[in-house]
Amino acid sequence: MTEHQRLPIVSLAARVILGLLFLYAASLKLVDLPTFASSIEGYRITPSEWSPMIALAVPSVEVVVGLALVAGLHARGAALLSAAMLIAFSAAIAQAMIRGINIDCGCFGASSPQKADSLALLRNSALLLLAVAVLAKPIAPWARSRPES
Amino acid sequence: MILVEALRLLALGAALAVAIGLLSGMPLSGSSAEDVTCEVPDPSVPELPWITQEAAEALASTEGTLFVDARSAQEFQEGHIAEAIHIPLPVTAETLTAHPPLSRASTLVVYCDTSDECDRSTRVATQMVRLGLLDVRVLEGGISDWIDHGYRAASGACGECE
Repeated sequence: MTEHQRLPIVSLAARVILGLLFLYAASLKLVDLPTFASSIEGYRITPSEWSPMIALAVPSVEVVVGLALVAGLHARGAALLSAAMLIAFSAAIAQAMIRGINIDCGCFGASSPQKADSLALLRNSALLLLAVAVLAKPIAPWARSRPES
Repeated sequence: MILVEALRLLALGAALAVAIGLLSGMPLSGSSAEDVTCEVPDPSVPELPWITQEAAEALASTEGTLFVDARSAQEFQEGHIAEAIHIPLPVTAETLTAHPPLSRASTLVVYCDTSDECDRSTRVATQMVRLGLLDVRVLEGGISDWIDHGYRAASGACGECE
């Protein structure tokens, strides 16, 4: 298998894995939205009145992005959106770490509490790499967006 | 082109959020201090871990442990666990901002009094867990057992709470 042939497989795997992870994370948040809203409040970045709105918006966009990635529809747009979300999540975690705030990151809802720490940042960085891989070369026979040649 | 796709997906996500909001009945505004009542804690919050007097006393000398007194200001002034801070109900995001040691502590031990029928310690602890604080425990026996054991206690206003 040549390097040229291998790249599409890597990109395909990255897209599906990233999509499934987004769907998984979204489903865990959606089953307990009030607790996810509390997790957002714990970051102390936005006014507490905004937390329910953000708690609804984040998993909803995650669902759309996850489905688009798995299906290969608008794959590059979904990858761009997922990268933007991962950067935003990482920024929120980083500011909590800098401020010494010891909280649940809310990454996978209330059923799987995980600290907002360097491990969470590392995980987001790995996912960001997957998003970059998809952005670089989205591959799906039915994909509606393709890289410019 | 990619940006347009991303914006389309974002719009779709926003529409989905509105739909979920309508279906779930999730309020779009946050709760205020006035909304907090003496109701039974939300069952969706995992059961709170309790800590024995002996284990709490052992933790007291450990860096990162913070005792939280959930009783009234007057009760706190009359006597509290040494170096405890006073956090009465309700506990909101503003409470965390007003008391930075809360978020920095690795373990929070919340207590009230064994005769406290309103379970203030469990309610304060529940709200702390809901706000994302990780290691929150409730002290078995409360302040009265602590004093009976002869563990370190103090009186007066909360110095850390200013």
